[in-house]
Amino acid sequence: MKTTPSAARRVALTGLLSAEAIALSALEMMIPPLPFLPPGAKPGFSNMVTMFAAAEYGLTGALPVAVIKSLFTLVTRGPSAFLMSLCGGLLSAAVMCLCFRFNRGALGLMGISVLSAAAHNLGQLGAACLLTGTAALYTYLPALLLFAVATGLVTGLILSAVFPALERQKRFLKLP
Amino acid sequence: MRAHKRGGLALRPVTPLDIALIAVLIAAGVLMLLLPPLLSKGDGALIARITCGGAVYEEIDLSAVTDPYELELPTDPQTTVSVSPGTIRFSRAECPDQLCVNTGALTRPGDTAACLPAGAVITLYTRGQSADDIMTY
Amino acid sequence: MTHTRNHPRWGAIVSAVIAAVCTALVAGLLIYDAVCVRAPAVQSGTAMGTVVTAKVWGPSGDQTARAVLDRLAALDKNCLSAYEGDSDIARINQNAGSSVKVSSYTAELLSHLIQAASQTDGAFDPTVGALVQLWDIGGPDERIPSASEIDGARGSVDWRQVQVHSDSVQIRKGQSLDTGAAGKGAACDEIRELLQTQNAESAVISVGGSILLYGKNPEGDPWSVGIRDPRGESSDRLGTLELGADLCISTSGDYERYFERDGIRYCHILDPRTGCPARSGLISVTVVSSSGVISDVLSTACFVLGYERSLPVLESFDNAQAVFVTDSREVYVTPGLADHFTLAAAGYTMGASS
Repeated sequence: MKTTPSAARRVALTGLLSAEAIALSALEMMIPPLPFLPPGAKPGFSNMVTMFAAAEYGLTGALPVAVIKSLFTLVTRGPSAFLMSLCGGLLSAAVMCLCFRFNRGALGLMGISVLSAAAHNLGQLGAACLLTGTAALYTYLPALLLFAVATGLVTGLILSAVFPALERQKRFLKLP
Repeated sequence: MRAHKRGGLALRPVTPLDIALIAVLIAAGVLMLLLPPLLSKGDGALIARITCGGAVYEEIDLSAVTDPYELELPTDPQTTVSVSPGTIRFSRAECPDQLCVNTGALTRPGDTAACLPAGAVITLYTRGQSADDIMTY
Repeated sequence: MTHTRNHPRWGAIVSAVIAAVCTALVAGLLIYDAVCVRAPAVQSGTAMGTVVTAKVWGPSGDQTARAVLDRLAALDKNCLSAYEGDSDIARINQNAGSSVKVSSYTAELLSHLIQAASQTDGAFDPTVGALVQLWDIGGPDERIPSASEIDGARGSVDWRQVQVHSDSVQIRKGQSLDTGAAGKGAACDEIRELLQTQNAESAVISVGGSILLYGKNPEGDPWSVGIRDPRGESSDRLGTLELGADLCISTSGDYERYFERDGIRYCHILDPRTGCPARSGLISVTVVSSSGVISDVLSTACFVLGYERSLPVLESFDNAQAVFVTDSREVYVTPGLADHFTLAAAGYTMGASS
């Protein structure tokens, strides 16, 4: 049975993580689109935050962050970007949680990072297909996969580097 | 919420499985990039298929176009397509991102441009039956 | 500290997997490279007042295709444009009566055109400028001029009065050069030279309907060149020519620029000898030659001369070949093309070749 302070902590933590995710997302939006990539493809730095949440707190921790991050996209970039962000974020969070839950050491940080990046991009592509009503967008698949490997590696590296700082954040806030 | 007992992120950075996974993804991506030109016959007509909201709006034989022209698609936000011999692109769109216009000209089979808010997609493919390499007029 | 596992088997297995994947990738790439025909680079644009399409096979196809378009723009600007700017031809026209310094390219081209005019007995004549401007077919001032106006303009049409030297050209006062009948073919010849310097493997170029076939078709079959149906839409085919390597094809037809009055079609191809649109019973002629400028010049000359009179002329030009379409929808093909042409459109019949 959760006590009220714990619930308050939970909300605060969600808020904190969401804010971090949004900040990273906003930073990413300033990068101009590259011609050979699917429109809207971004490095996905905010995924790092979701990964942290998924790792430490499972689905209940990661999902709110993913949803709130998508809502930010709704406000800034419109409904179609929101749908893409939501699908990508949800699929990515689900994959992350599965990985962290059932891992048993087979996968490392890089592997999970790459998998979640791929899931994120696939979710976005799926949403794009829904929006346009056609499967013709499958031509983006190869670029998408390769891009996911690249961004997954980058975010995995960064995350392993900042992991000690995140741990400290946890202790400082006296989090469970 | 309670933290997992295993202390979530405390994992090895890279495991053998990671490497295998990454290798497979890269291989899959590269293969998918190379395969389409291999499969499509070079001497078919180059067709641009324009879909709006999931339904095929029009198919244009780009190799038969002699005079460039513009086509307004019945989408909301409005999009305009510019058709030229052998190439097609979004020339104007009223969407906020302009990603469709920025994709530029499509020239090869498999090239795609999409305006997501408008639900408009242009894809190029070659029609299997052999058409002429070129036409004199 | 994280717990590390010690599984020697893991390492071996994974290394083997990675090695296999990499080898497969490399092998696949090599095979693909050797066996497959890469799709050509295709660029389209407008140059010389018409639509140009370049399909280039080879390592740097995109660059080459773009270079083709650039070269054409330069050619038009520097040499061929008859009326605008200070291209060679424009300056000759502006200074009719005086000697004008031109590039060696223009001088050489003009001397070929004069030679062609002589060989076609004036059916092709590069000095038709005044007549072209008078009729202005396809332009804003198109009309049927009076007989005296036509006679007046016709007086200036005389290829014999053009003096060409190695670096200068002079036309008689009142004359005007028009490269419309030869420019696209000449452009094809220029592009052929460009492609040689660019190490292109094969290419198919269309300059407003004048075609250059460069090298062999990478797919192994002959090149198939469609001939436009003179009375159909722009994508309708009259038939197809199957051709080998390194040929140029040009077509002259009465459907490109024309106006109709009282049921008569006045097309843009003028007969230099009568001063009026050619009326020889043909609606389209397609000429195949190894030279671009010859194919273009001959397509005009044959259109003016008509089927019968064209045959000896074609022979005199190194056995150029042609496909004729008459206004009674009959198609005649010279013997050299008999096995290479296939009729495709309904409503036409193959005439018996002489």
